Amino acid sequence: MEFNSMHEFFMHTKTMTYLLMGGILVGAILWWQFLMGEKKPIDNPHRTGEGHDNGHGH
Amino acid sequence: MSTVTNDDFKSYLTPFNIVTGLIIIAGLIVTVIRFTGGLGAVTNLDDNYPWGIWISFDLLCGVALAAGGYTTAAACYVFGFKKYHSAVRPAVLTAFLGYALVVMALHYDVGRPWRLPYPIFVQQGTTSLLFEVGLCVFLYLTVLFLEFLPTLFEWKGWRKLRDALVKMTLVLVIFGVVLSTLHQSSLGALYTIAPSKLHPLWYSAYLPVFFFVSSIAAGLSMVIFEGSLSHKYLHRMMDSEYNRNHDDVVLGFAKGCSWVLFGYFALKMIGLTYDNNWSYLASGFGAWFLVEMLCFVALPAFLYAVGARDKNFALIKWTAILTVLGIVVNRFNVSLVAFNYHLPSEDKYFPAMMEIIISVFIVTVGVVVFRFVSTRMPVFFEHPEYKGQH
Repeated sequence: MEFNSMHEFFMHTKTMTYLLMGGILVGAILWWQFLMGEKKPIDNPHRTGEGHDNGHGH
Repeated sequence: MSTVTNDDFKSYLTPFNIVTGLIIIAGLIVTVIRFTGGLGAVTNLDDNYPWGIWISFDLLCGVALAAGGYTTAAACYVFGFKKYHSAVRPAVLTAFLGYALVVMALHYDVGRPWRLPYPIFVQQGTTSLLFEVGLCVFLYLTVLFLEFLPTLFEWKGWRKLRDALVKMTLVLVIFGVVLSTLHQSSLGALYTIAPSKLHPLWYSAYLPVFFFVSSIAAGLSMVIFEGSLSHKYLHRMMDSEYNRNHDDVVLGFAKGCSWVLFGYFALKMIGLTYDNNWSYLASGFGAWFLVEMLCFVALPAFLYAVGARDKNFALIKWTAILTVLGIVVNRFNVSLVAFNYHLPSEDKYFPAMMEIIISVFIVTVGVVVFRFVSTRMPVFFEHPEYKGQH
C-alpha cells in the first residue's frame, strides 16, 4: 500500500490498530472463558482430608 | 578431633559436584585471562557488536528470568493470594541470586570492578537510560537482599532482627515492584536508541512495554520451572505446607501466565500494525519473527490454558520450559540476531568459546549457591519456631 503523506500513513495504521484492538477485546473475553473452564479436581496426595477441591482456591 | 577419611572424600564425588567443580575451575581460569588480557583475549566483540552474550544472556535474560521474585511477592502480599506464600521464599532467593549474578556478569563486560560504585555515588549520568538501569538494579538488589535476610536470621536464630525486617515486608515488596517495573522496561528502552540497527520487526517505540510484560511471563514460568526442578532434587527439604500449596501455585501461575502471554501477543501485534511492518513478514527475518511469536508466545499461552483447564501438571511444566526458552530467544533476537541486521554474515557476531564458558560458569555458581542455601536455610519449609508468623 502506498502512502503519499504522513497523514495518510497514520490514518491507515491507526485505523488498523483500532480495529485490531476491538478484535483483541472480543478475543480476550473468549480467552478468559476458555482459560477458566476447568474440568476436574486436583489429584494431590498431600491434600487428602480437605474435601473436594474444585480448583478455585479455599 | 575429626579427620577426613577416604569415605568422606568419596561422598563428595557425586556427578553434580564433579561437573560443577570442572565448570567452576574452567570459569576461574577464563576469569583470570579476562582480567589480565582484556576483552580481546576472551571475546569476539568488535566495534559493530560491543555487547555480546554477556549482555544478551547474562544480563537481559538474567534480569527477565529473575522476575519471579517481584511477581510472586506481588501476588502474595499486594494482591492477597496467600496460597502462594510458600512460593515466595524460593522465588525471592532465585531473584536475589539472579540479580547478584547479573551484577557479577556485568563486571566481566565492563571491567575495572573497583569502579562499580561510580555511576551511583560519584558521577551520575542522569540523562542516560543505563543510569536508570544501574540505579534500579542497585536498589532492587538491596531490596531483594533485605527480603531474603529474614530467612538467614531464622536460620541463625536472630529473632529480633528477623521480626524487625518481617514488619517491613509489604513496603519492601511495593518498592521492589516499582523498581522492577522501571528497570525491566528500561532494558527494552535501551534498544529504542538504535532504530537504524534493530530490524523493524523487533524495533518498536513500545519496546519498554514489551520487555516489561514479557518479564512477567518469564518470572511466572521460572517459578513453575524452578519449583518443578526443586521438587525433583530437593524434595526432602519441603514441608507439608509447601507440598500442599504447590499445585495451587502451579495452576494459578499457569493461568496468570497464559493471560499475560495472550496480552503480550496482542501488544506485539498492535506494535506491528502501528508501524505497518506486515510486509517484512515475507522475508527470512519475518519467518524467524513468526517462529518466535507463534512457537514461543502463542503456543505456550494456549498450552498453559489447556494445562490449567485439565490440571495437567506435566504439560504446564513443559510449557514453562518453552516459555523460558521463548524469553531467551526474544532477548537474543533483540540484542544480537536482529541487531545489525544489515551487516553481511561474515561481519556478524558469534560468541567465543570463553564467553560461553563464563556464561555457563555464572549460571553454575547460581545453581550451587541456591542448592547450598536451600538445603540449609528455611526456604522450602517454615522454621519450627516461626510457623504461621508471616
